Amino acid sequence: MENDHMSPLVMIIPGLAVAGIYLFLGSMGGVGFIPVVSAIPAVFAAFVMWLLYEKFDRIGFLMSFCAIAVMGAVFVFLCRPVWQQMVMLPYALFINESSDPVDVTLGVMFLMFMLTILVFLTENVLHIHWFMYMFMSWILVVSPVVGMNAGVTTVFLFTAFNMVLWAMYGMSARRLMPTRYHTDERYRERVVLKTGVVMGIAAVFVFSTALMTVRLTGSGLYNVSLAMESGLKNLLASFGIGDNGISGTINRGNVYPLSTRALEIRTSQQPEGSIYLRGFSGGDYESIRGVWEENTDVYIYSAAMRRGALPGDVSGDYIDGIYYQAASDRSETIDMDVVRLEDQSMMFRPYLSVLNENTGLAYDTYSLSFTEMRGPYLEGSRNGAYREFEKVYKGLADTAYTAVPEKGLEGVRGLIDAYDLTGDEDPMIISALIYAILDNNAEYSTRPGFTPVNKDPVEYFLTESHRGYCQHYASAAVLMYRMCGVPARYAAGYVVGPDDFTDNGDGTWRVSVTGAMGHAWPEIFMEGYGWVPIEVTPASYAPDTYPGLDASFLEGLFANGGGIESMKRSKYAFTSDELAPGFGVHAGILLATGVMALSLIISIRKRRRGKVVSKGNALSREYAGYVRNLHDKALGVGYDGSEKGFPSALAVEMSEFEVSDPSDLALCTDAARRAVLNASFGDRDVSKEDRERVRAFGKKVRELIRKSRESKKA
Amino acid sequence: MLNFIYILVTLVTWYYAGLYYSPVLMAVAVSEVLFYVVMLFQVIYLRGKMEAVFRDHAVVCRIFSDERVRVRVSSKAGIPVPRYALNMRFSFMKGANESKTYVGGLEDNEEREVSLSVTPVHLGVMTVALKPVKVYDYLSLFSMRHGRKTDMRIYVLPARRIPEHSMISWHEDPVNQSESHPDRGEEPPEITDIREYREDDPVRRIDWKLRVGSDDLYVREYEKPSYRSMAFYADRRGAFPDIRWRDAYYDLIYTMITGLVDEYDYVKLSFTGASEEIKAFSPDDCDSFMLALYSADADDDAESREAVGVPPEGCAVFGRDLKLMIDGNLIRVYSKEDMK
Repeated sequence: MENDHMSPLVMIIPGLAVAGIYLFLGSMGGVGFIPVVSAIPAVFAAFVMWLLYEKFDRIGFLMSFCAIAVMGAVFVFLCRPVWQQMVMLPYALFINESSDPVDVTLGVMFLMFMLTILVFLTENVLHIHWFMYMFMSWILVVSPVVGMNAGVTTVFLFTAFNMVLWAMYGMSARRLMPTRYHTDERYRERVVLKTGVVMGIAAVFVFSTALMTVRLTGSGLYNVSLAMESGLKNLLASFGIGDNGISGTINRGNVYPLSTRALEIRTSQQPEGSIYLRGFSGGDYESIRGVWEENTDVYIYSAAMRRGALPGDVSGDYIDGIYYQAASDRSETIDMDVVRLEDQSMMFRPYLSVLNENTGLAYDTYSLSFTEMRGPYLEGSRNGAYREFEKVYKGLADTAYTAVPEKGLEGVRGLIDAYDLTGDEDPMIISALIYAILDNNAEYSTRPGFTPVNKDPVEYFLTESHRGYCQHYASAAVLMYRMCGVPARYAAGYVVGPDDFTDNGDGTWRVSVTGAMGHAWPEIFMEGYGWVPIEVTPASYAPDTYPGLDASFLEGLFANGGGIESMKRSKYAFTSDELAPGFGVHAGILLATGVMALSLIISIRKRRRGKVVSKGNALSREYAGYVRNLHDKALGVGYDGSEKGFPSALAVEMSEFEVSDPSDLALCTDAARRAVLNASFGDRDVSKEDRERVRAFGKKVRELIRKSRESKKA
Repeated sequence: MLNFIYILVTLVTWYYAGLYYSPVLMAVAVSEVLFYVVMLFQVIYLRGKMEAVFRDHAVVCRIFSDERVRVRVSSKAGIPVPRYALNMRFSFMKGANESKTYVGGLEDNEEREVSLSVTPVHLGVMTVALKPVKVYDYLSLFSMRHGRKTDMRIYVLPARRIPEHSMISWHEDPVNQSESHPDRGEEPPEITDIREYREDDPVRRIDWKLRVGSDDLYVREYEKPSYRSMAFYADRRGAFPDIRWRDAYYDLIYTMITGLVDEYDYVKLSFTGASEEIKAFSPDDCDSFMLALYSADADDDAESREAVGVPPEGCAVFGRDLKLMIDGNLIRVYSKEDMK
């Protein structure tokens, strides 16, 4: 079976696809290859495939294709660097985070070669257009999920490819251009190709306009999608679908606090400050996944027991209880009854609280007493015993709560390493440093966007997105505290402000704790204070939320960077440029390209028209020459060849010369006259048939002249 | 559906771009929105530039033949039209309709003739209604119609076949005895004149003996017309129960009259509501009669047919009840199964 003739123009589609993928690879940081050189095999493969398709029949083509595939496999097998680099390619793309890209030039060359063959086969031979459409769409959609930032040109090529493909073939080629109705395949091909060219030019203009729009509108467009997500979340919440739980997992997307009630709290008096109801405190951190595991106090407790440093009269939730019990010696105690409304396994307790009673293991309801602290409190009768335990605990916590994963947080560590710390700094100085780092590198936002699946959320927060909310701030602070050698934990629960309480009228106060009050914060271990919550989230920051610390001292510390001069940096601030980096340049280049393409097509059309006119003139001149010959021989006098009656008049006039068939002469003359008229004034090109008609007339003219001569001789 | 998918894809892209704060993906989403608007304007533009009309107002064909309905499609747009649809409805009578759609594309500023094949399976007049041409944008998101609905007719004649003489089973000419041709063996009528052949002259009157010695044709003039003839009347009163009944009616008429034409010198054909009778000398004349009959059936209604008198006397009358009567005498009752 013969292959259909294939216009070289059909290479536009596979070309867009391969070029897009090539640029996509180039825009990946971990991959390194020599540009242009690595693209040569793709061009070569396209040419070879086209040549094979044109030269061979279908079976021959498929056999050639198989031969190329086998040769490719043998080549890869024999050429070790190629397959080694092919193996390295996924590593370089997805894993290599270092600034030193992996050189995979040979691998890319081979990949481009194979990709070109595959695209050619699917697009031009098998006509399976949906395959490439879905593949390109898949790359577009998945790249941000895995943290691949495709460049503007790459995305443009992908978009143009998809739009042109849709226009040319649609979702189903048969549906849009059903070949069963078309007998003229070449005609169909022309329409499809022209459509593709027009669509490609339209894509240039539309995409450049879109780039400029994105640049001009700033965050406005993003807010639309956030509004969509918010609406979706609220809709799901109205059906009772949504996770309001407190856990150690850092949210990788935006946060939309739900208004569903989690706890119902009744207190004996209105608290003076915010109450931090801790439900979770983390231990080890698992990078990339962004998960805080449960704290390791139970192991510390065991170790302390083995050392005999555990006071004998302390029981229950001992590890933290040491501090509440110490606090319980104080007189200003608030009684609190908590009713848990959600199905959670956690008990949410304020700092410095003592559990009075609970109704069961599930802690559906429980009663607490706690004291709002404003200063050092280990001054009670048990001071000595607890001091002793505290030393043991601190010694173990210095190891357990300063652990930081080795990989995945290089950027965060770099921020700390930028300051020459000796390791002996006071925790408050470190707090000021961390506060400054957070302030300089991040902006509070409950809509920071999604974290790519292969990136650590804290690293991404501080080094790439620069946006985050309490979970990111708290996690980042904990990790930085630990990097500075200060024991720190990630805590999550609810924060209830004094104004959230309402007077019941009977001397008690009440508050409904909702998902909107959910919060996360770091807590550090300070000698003489125990686990102290530190508020680092800008939206929640208030000096009085540092229990036991002097507010004015803290404010002063944060203001001057704790005395570390290099901390004073300019605050990180977003600009519209960061939302649309370099878009103006790209849009300009694209627009210029579009204008050039359009000008080129217009000029080609003009030239083509010019050629048509020229061909028409040539045909007219040839015809006029024959008519002039007739006149020179005193034949057809009185007619210039353009009149409608010229053919019949000529036939009558020539009948005296024994022309074999006057009607044939008339028909021939009329056909030539019409061809010339069309060439001069018609709306189509001069065809081969037109030229043949005029030449047939010329032949008749010569015959007439010959017969006329013979007749005169006779 | 395609529109819905496109909007969904745009929303997902937009959503994705927002969630990952990806400017390039946002540009893609905005491009999709812009394309949507552009496509809407494009289809409005293309719609105004497209036109589709039938090439012929009417065509004649035989039943079961492969006929092509030709439509001239033109575009004055400066860009190619990737997709347009011509929707044609083929109607024989109530309850016997069929629709076909032609989908094609046009280059810029082009006029093109497209054809759709159709195989008529019923006799009579088939009306083909062409809806206004439907034009699509480049992404096939929108479609709009332009122009007006036009109609054409396909006259479907019965297949020609070897006439069966027994269809009307008597050989005595019941009418026009005075004009009847003498039986074989009798003296032929006297030739009064021989003149040059004129276009309307019956072929049978050509003097072939004279043709041998001359390039011209001559015909013989007789003393008086002495043709043996027959009169046939198609009674159009009443309605057809179904399309198959109508097919049988037309097919039987055609079979009868072609048989009569073959058997007699000529046949005088008429039908209810006909302005004048047709003298059929050949099967071609029978075709003309059938076309006239079809036209009459297609153009007037049952009420007007009832108002037009009764069949004249002295001729074979074939009614829509498929009964053949002569002078009020029932000759034969046919059924749908008698259709060949």
